[in-house]
Amino acid sequence: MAISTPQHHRLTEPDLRTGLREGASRWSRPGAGRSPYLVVLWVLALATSLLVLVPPGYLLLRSLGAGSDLWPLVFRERTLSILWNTVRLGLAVGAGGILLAVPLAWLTTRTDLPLRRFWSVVAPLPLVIPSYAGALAVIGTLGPRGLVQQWLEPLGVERLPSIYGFPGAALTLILFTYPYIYLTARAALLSLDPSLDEASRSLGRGRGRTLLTCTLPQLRPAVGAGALLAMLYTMSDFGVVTLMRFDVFTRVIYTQYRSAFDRSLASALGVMLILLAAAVLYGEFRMRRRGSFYRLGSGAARRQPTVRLGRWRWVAFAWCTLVALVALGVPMATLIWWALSGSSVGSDLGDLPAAIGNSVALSGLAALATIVAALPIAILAVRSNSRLAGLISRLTYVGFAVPGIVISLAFVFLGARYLTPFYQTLPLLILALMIRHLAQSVGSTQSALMQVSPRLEEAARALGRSPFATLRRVTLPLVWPGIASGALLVFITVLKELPITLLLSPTGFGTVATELWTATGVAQYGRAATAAMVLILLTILPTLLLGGRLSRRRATPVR
Amino acid sequence: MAQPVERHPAPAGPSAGFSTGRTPSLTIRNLSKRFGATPVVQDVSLDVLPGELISLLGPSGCGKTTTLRLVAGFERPDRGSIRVDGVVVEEDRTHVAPERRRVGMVFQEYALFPHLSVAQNVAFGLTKGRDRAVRVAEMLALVGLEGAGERFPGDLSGGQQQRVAVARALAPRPAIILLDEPFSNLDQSLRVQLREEIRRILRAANATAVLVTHDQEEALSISDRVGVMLDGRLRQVAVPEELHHHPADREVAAFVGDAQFLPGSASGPTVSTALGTLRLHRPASGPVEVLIRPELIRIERGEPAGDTVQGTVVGRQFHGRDQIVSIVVGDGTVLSVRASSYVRLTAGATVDLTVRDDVVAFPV
Repeated sequence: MAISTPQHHRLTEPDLRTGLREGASRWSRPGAGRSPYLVVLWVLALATSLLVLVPPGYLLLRSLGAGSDLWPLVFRERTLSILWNTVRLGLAVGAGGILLAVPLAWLTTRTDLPLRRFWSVVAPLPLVIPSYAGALAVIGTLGPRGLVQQWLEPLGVERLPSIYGFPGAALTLILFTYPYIYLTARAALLSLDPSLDEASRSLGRGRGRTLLTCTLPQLRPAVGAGALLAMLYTMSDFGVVTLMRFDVFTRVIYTQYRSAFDRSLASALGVMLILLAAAVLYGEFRMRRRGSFYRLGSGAARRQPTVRLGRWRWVAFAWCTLVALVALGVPMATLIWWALSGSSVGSDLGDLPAAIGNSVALSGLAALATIVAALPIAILAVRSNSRLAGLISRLTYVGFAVPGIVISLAFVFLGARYLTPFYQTLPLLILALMIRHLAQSVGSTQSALMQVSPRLEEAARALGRSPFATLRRVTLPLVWPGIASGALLVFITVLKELPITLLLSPTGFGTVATELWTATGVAQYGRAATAAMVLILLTILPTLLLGGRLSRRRATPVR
Repeated sequence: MAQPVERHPAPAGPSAGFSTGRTPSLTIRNLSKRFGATPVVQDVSLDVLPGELISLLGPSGCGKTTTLRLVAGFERPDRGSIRVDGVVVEEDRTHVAPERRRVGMVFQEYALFPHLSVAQNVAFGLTKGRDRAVRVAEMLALVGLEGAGERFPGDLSGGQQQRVAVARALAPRPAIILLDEPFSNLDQSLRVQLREEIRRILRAANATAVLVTHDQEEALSISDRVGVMLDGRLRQVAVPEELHHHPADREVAAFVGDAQFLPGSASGPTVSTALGTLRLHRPASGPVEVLIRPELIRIERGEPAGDTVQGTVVGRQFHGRDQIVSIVVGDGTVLSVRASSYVRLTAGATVDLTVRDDVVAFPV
């Protein structure tokens, strides 16, 4: 029978297995026993998730512990009006943002708008302006003795309607958060399957009706998620509402904390704000999940057909120009004008050089702490089938739902009472910042890990590498771009962060953001505007890096 | 010709060990694994001898890849034991980590490290030292990729990537190398060429290998022995001819090759069917189904030599390299018969048929 070659025939070729001795395998190293890899990961992940629960947990205990004396204070008309203010500001920012962002997103993706690429770069740029710096600019423009008033004075206008309160807060937050909606709407528009629009057209619906009944409804999940993100930002915003003197939760909590001796009320208000923000975050999560069902195919869709705007082209162009002027041009011009006309630019820099160093160091350390804390959680969530791991990864979103002012409040109380040696020290400040931004980092690390096939890690193990060596030699080098862009994002957010830094900084430790804030407090607008410009410049650099990184990111060839 | 393994006359159940006196490179005993409530691997036992190439053949979802992953240590079995070169790596309380098993693995997607060069990939399982570069060069030469060491996996073709994966797995001299569907990501034309190449490489390295595939042509053409897995069970392990000609049960017969079953009545060494009385490979009795592969029947040209049965051609499917002719015999049974594509047959022609070999029968 023709049976394949027996063993003795194989010796015609050199026996590589026994004949040569070069290159020792890694298996032959002595020592048995199991690697503590998983144990270490679990301990770190569990510890981090417990830390995340500390601020809301403490505030809850604190407000429950205050007993029944607190209830009349909490459930009074004033609280209701704060709640209403918070909700209506959120709704206004969401709705206003949609009106601004969706037309921009559609114009820059689907039409023959003049300078389309230019506008798609300009539209998200207001994100680099910290919203409180934006508020400063809005006050400088529209406020009492502001630029507009000065121009109008020769025309006999003595007073503009007051910018303070709801109108100013809503306007500012719309102008500087609409990019969240713009970016999600744009991404959704680019991924929509054009064949759906074509189906609608072939079924007899005109271009306009197709846009209204087919294209826009498909955007709903993405736009909804973006709007809820803008609302979440609004609810946790502290700078804008304080500058605009509008009584929402964050501002009232801060005032309570500064003035009242009993801090239980601030705790209770904090818990209410957390619940509100958690509801919004949950809505955003649901919207995003629904969004994924709307896609038909996967991968790069066909090129989107371009809508010819005809004579509306120039109307659209004017609209884009207007938005860019109001959200970017005027605020920047105001800040620059103020910074330059501030009495004595050179001598008035004050502590700014030191503050720049502090800002960069603090943001860098916070970003580092965040990615280190996020890594075990992300690895377990992606690589283990354990439900607990998934739960821990979702727990990190708690930090995202707890506004900065609430986190810092919890740590102020805790620090003053139990952690006195750590109170107002750098470690505690970094810990609070880490908790606040952990979700961002866990998210980006997880999506980077999902791009790496577990087969690669198994291959390393089968070649004799321990789990830790596999992590260091294979996994980390491959997910590094994703982790780094996540870290960069945290870096940018911490640069602009205000309430946590304000409340938990060591005495005498000023950042550019707190410098801006202090200057505003004592009405030194030139100094404040200079700080704002520095902050914007500091933000732009890593943003450019991030953009470059994302576009250069290469795909791993392994599925 | 000498045979590399003993021939089993009738391996009815899962194949047990060999008694050749050599320590098997891999010994699997009663291996079982469930995912949730679904049993994936059930009571699998297997011995792989040094230098042998065994294929695990089965449809997708039959548990063959899971078996491989259990051997590599990526999954833990619910029951059973695994020994590598006689050393227990898996037993009740023992679970040796994958990195301590001396088991090499070639993944279906190759899993080459995209951030490392070809040479760094091959060196990954070797300890640092002067000898490492020598071994890497030796392995690259073995797989015919001399001079490609500085390139990156992303720059290589599918076939080249696969050879790097094999070189990487062989470099640390594993006791056994596992290959998971190694050819499924390649073009059909490349597949045949590469499987010959891989077999040459494995032989040259004198490697012991277990290969998992769903492609029976692949399994039958390059393996010393083939194990058929169906529904998590290893149904038969045998040399390719044995498996094809004398399958252990009806399902293995239907899975490997083209099968048609004729009713028959067996009595000891023979069975009587529509094709006359046939010699049985294994004695049987009572009503049976007889496996008649299309290539088992010969259409006689000219004067028939022995016992023949007459039939009438009723149709044919032309395939190019051969043709399947439908022939109706005495009692109205229609048989498929494989014939050379150069045999001219028209519907209505009368032909004489003989059966080339003994047959296997399965109780009804």
